[in-house]
Amino acid sequence: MKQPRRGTRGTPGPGFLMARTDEELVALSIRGDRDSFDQLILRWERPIYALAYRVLGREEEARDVVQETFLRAFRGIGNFRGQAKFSSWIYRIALNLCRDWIRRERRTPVSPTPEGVDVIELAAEQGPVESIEELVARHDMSRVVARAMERLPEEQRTAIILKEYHGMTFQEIADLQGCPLSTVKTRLYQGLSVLRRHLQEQGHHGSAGQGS
Amino acid sequence: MSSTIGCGNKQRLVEYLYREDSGGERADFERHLATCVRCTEELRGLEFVRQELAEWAPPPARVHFRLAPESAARRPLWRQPLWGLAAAATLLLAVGAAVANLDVRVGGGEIVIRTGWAAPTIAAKRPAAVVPLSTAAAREQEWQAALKDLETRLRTDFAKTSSAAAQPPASPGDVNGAALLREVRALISESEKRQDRQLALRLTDMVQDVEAQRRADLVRIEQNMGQLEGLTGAEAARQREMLNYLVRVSQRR
Repeated sequence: MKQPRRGTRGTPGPGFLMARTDEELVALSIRGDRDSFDQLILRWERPIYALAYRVLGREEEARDVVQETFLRAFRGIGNFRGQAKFSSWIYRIALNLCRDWIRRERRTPVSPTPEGVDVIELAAEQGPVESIEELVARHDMSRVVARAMERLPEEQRTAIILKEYHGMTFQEIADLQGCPLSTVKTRLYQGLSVLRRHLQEQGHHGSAGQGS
Repeated sequence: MSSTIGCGNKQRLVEYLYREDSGGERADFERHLATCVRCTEELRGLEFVRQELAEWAPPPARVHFRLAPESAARRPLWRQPLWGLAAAATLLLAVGAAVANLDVRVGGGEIVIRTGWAAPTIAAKRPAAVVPLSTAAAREQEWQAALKDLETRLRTDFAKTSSAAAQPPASPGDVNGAALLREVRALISESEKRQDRQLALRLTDMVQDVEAQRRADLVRIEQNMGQLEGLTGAEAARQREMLNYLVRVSQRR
């Protein structure tokens, strides 16, 4: 599993403040050292937020998931015996919360319009041929990918997110999702194939995708 | 390996894609790829998808959850420094009394409590007939003694608090003062560390926010420029068409 960085796009983080390993911080937290638990939060809140955001597609709910995840972790850290890595444990809590939220809402996650894009202004200015979504998507590949991901079943989407953005191994994903190794590979293959078709429909083929 | 043997095995393809196969398996699959156009094309397609996935970044996270710091203000009451408690109590009493203009008088078989700046005196008179004189006198003495005692204690506490807050311990031998100083220093040190962490966090956030805003601005500028170019081109074409029409009409006449 990837060690977290401060920031999602390579922003340097205060690594100088974090010399201790997760295991050491967990041990100190169990003994009541709140600063150590704060350091664990500081270290893992952004990866957990990124995970929740990509799974749910909503900023506010993702923040709620992060808060609830660490709250549950804090309450349960006394029972954490190190049978798994702290990161795996906390990812599992977060994924369970995401799953609960999806079941509760019973709706497909949606992605908000990217910040800085005035949709009303675009609607007023754009021609009849191209929709707002198309206009935004044309300028922001991130949106295309996000919308493609929304089409995937939750299990496939989560497997891809854990693999692509959190660097987990097939086995780690299988442990988190509670399924056999082969199922993880199948989910990844099927999910990527659906994404590929969707991107092709959107006109994003890429030079490599042409079979040339 | 023939081109058909590996084609149905999508799991091998995924293992190869994510480099989670062994060296031998990888070499086998590469030999298969060398002869299988279909698998090669599919692999490139999936690699392209992975490249596109890398573009998907979540918005800047505004999450800074921390456990409530165990500051002095949130310690249990029994762990608060005594001088702090005394100062707080004294201050509270003094402010309360000043605001209410509290005036308590005991004497003559009655207790008079007066509050407010211009309020009339509210006297809680107790008829002497109800309380025996000896009992009333005894109670009066008790009240006066209690009030004096309270006043003395408050004055002492307040003087101690003021001196403790105003100056460091007078001598190294002053154990209480030294302990107090050490505690204050420890609190300051802890606070500084926490502020350092917060500062680092805020700086990181600021960098991310600026970067996100920059990217959004670029998208908008690009959109606006593209539309402006389109509009300008359409307007020029319309003008040109109109000009041509006028030229044709004028030529006919």
